[in-house]
Amino acid sequence: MSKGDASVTKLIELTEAERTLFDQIVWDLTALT
Amino acid sequence: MNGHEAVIANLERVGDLTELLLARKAVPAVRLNYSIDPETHVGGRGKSRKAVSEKSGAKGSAILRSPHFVKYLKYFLHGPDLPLPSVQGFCKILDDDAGPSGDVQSQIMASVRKDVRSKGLDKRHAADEFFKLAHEAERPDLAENVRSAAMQVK
Repeated sequence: MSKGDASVTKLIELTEAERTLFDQIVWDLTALT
Repeated sequence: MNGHEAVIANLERVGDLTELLLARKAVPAVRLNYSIDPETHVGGRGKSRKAVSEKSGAKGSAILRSPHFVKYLKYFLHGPDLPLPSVQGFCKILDDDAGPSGDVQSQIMASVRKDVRSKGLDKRHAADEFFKLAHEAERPDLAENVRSAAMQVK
């Protein structure tokens, strides 16, 4: 890894199918209950 | 759909996304290791996070669909959950390191303490995230120290 940049906090690249799922996920489960 | 069904459907998507990422080996090895390497599980008594989950009953694809797993997928996708300036400052200290290892260790511990204090970070959460960051920055030798530094903040 190049330590000098901020690559560690960059979202990994997603395929279209993965992006669709990613966009549908509610990350805070408490928001669903 | 009631709340419980919505949670189950959401966790199904979490599992599906994780399986797609794993199938094409898109998750950086250092992030996978966080869940499967006992060495990165402080307080795990020699067991990885995955092994602990399995011991509590979750197996195979069910692990990926447990509420507990959501935070791991977030880490797989985003890396350590820290403010960008904290990550950049951490990496700069490592990049600038040209002296004895004791120097970089004390510098980085001081930087972590300062970040936790000045940015009002939750110290327990920050301790885990800086621990992950040390591994991502290929300095696992510093991981325990930066975790301790974050926890020392009063």
